[in-house]
Amino acid sequence: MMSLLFLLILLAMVALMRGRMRAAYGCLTVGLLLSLFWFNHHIGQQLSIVL
Amino acid sequence: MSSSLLRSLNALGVLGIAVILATGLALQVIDDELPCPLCLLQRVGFTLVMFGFMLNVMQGLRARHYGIVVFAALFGAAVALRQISLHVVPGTGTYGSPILGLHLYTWAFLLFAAVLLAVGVLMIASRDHPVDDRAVASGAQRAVCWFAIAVTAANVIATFLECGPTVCADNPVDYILLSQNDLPDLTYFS
Repeated sequence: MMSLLFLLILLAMVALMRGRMRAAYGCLTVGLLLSLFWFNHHIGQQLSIVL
Repeated sequence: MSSSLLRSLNALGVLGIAVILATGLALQVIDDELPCPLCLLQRVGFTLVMFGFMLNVMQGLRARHYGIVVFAALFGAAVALRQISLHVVPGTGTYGSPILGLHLYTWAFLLFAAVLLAVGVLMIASRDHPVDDRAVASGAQRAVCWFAIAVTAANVIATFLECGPTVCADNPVDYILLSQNDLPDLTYFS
C-alpha cells in the first residue's frame, strides 16, 4: 500500500506537467490524507523516552 | 529578486530533492538496505516537497504552492523525528548504516528543516511580486521536472517490489515480490 502513495504523487506530477490541475490537486489531496493515515498506522510503538 | 530567478531557484529545489531521493535509492540497491515504513514515509515527504516546488516551476509562483511545500516538509520532519525518538536512547539500537556520522532519518530531519528555511527565504525574497502568470517553464526547468517524475516512478517500483500490495514489514529483510520464502519480519516495533 505504501507504493500507492508514490503512485498518487506520480500521477499528480504527470497531471501537473500536462496542465490538468484539477486531477493534480485531487491526487495530491488523496496522497496527503493517505500519508497521514499510514503515519498514524506506523507509530504504534510506545517510546522509551519521557516527554 | 526577479520572478524568473525565483522560479529557477524552485527548479533547483526540485533537482536537489530528486538527487536526494535518487541517492537513497542508490544506497538501497548498493548496500542492500531496505527502507522501513517510516523511512518510506520520509521519502513520501520529500516527494511531496518536490511536487510543491514543481508547482511553482510549472504554474508560476504562488503562496499556496509554498504552503504545500511547508506542509510536506512538516510532515516529513514529523516522521523523521518520530524515528529519531525511537533510537535516541542509548541501547535502543539504530536502523541502517550511518552516513557521515548520522543515520539517514537524522539527515532527513535536517534536510526538511533546511527546506523550511529555504522556503522562508524564498517567500521573503518574493514579497512584492505580483502573481506570476507566465506559466512557461524553460526547457531545462521542464527537464528537471521530468527527472523528478522519473525518480518518483523508480520509488513506486522499488516500494512495490519491497512491500507488494500489502502493508510494509516493520523490519524488511527482502523484497517480498522477489522472494518466495521470506515472510515479513514484524519484530522492529515489538
